Amino acid sequence: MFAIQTHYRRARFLLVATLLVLPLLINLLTGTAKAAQITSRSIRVTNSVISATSVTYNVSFKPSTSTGTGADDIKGIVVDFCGSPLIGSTCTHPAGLAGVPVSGTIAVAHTGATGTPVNFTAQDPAGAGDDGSRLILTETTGLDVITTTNTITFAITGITNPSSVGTYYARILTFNSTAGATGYTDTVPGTHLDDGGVALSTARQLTINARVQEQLEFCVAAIDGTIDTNGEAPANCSATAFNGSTQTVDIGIVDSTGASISPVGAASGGNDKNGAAMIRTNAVNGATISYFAVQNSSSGSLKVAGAACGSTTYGSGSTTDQCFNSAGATQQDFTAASEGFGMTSSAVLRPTGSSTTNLTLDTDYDGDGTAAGGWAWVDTGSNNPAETLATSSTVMDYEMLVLRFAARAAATTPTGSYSVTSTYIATSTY
Amino acid sequence: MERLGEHINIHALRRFGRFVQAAMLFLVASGLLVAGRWGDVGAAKLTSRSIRTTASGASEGAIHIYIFEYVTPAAIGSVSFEYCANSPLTSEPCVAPAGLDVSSVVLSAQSGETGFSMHANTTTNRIVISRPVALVVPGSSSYTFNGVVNPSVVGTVYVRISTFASMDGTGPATDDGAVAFAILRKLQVKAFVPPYLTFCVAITVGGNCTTASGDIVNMGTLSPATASTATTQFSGATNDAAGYSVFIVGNTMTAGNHIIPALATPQTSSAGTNQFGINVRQNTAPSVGQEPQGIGVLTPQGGYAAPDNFKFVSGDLIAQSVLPTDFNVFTVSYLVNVDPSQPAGIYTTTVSYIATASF
Repeated sequence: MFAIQTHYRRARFLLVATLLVLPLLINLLTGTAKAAQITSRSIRVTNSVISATSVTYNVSFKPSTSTGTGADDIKGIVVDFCGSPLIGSTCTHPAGLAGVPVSGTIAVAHTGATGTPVNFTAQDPAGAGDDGSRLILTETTGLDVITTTNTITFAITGITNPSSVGTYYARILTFNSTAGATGYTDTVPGTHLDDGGVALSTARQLTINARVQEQLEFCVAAIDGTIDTNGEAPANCSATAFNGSTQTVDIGIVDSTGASISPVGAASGGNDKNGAAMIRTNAVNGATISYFAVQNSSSGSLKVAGAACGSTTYGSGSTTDQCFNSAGATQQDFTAASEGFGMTSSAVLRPTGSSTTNLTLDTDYDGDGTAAGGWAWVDTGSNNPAETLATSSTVMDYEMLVLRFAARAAATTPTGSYSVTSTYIATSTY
Repeated sequence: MERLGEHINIHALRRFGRFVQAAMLFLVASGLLVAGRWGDVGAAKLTSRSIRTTASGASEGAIHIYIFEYVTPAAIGSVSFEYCANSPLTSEPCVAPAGLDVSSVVLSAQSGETGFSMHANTTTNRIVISRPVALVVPGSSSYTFNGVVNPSVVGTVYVRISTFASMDGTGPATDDGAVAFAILRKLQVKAFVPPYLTFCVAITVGGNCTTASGDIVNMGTLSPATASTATTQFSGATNDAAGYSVFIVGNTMTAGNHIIPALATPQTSSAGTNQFGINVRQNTAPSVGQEPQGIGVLTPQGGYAAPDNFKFVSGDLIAQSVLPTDFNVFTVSYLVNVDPSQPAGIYTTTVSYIATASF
């Protein structure tokens, strides 16, 4: 019995001693026996790049302690940027973090009953030694009538982010006295209402690169002579009208009674075709479409293959050789009874879906397709540079030239089958 | 005490745990790491770059003229022009265009940054030009290459242009950029000029036979005292290389059995003597007719070519061109003289003009 009683006494003593010591130890070790955690706490930064300047930190939280009793009005707010979130532990400020104000006012908004922001004053208590990385706000009247459901927000502007990538923390504390806030230190935060930590992180930036490759689509063919509107134009160079189509425009029987102008129907010996040249390019400086006549026996005129040509100057050239006189570089009217051959572009078509109207005809090739509309043809075969048909100064979605050809014989133009081949070149400048 | 220490530790851990649960990590804005980029890292893009070709046909010989602006003011010893069928991107493998051959090109002209010559590293689809390394002044330059053999396939061809500090086209590019040109089919125009002969006859005709009016000539009352005259016209053109001929066919003037004899040989007018004849010239005795009008080369022939001399033999050639001829209008002058003893009557005749060409 004695042994049992002794043990019982010891145990009871130990229990009492423990109960007496425990509160004291708790107070000594934490010093925050009363502090609750603020909730819904966040800090939204406007820039996470290391060493970024003029960054705004938007602080938001809900108190755990309701105000309204006077004694619990929030009269001080501390935001301490540290390497650890633990309240009361030594705070190592993130290297490079700077610009946290130590003077001036910050409007602290809240969703409490009054709803009116209160201007708190940034403090720089003597001995704080942490200018630029610790915010101490005080206001003698403070935030009144704030419940735990209200949100408190304010912005800290002009901050310079830490200079290294990684996580850092903000310790947020609220005080019911200005002295409490100004008396705050990292290791001895003092009695305060609520506290809590928020983690932040700097990060490097993401750079996204992409490359749009240089584009050029250019094609030439003989197309149906009925194609004369945007809606009828082939969609692109892969369309049937260009792919596998004939490369010949036949303007049929040519005599001296008038000009034979493409498209010429079968009844007059033609094949109902016009020429077409389509282009698409993303060259920002535009493109030039040019042509030159392939030489046959030293001439690029409409001629009988192998025939020798005299002068082919329009209006004065020979009309008895087997070579049509060429209209030349300057537009000619084919209503006159004079032997001639020429080309013009009576329209620039943009197929359905094309998004540009940037191709412009050279003035010598902008006829309307009538005998009087004007025709030109350079038969010298000059290709360095070739003869300009049309130009653009910027990019082009699919745009197509309708190429018309006309010939008028003289009374003495020798009988025969005449032909001429032309080469087209697109030059884009990127 | 042990219980106290244990209690404290637990309390602290719980609190930290709650903090971790409640803490919010912010990774704002841009996020993660720098990504890669196309092409040579650090190579600037050549600007205002183009290629102009003198021929766009498959397998044709061509001259390629490159124009571009250097961007980086750096020491440059070589430039390369790599032809690719698949892509202008230097990050992509280059597929040489089928049939292309630039291995034998000649740098025939250069401007801007000069001093370059062909380098041995030139291949069938890559031109390399080289010079002693020199500092580039940003600006426009051009290089002309003769002797290009175009690709043999229709389509778009890309050329990757790169500048190098090295003298042989190796190593990282200082500046680069791509251009494109197209190989395409040619366009042919065909026409047919048929053989033709245009000919018209009437009292009066237009120069190109667009008009012709009247087919009855009234010579009035014949008198032995004065010659009676009249005119008709004809015009024609042909593209027959040997030209064309005009013949007169018909009879002299008759009234039943009464005949005014035709002149079988060219003779001048003699009033009071039975005569019927024509010519195609301007006459003064009598005053009738006019010279041929127009740019054509049809010419009066034989006994019908002399002014004031008249003749009529059916089937005779009266005008001819031995070359293709444009239109010219001939005026036929008719002469009738009668003998005082010529029986009265209405004397008439019908004549035809026949134009013949041989093609």
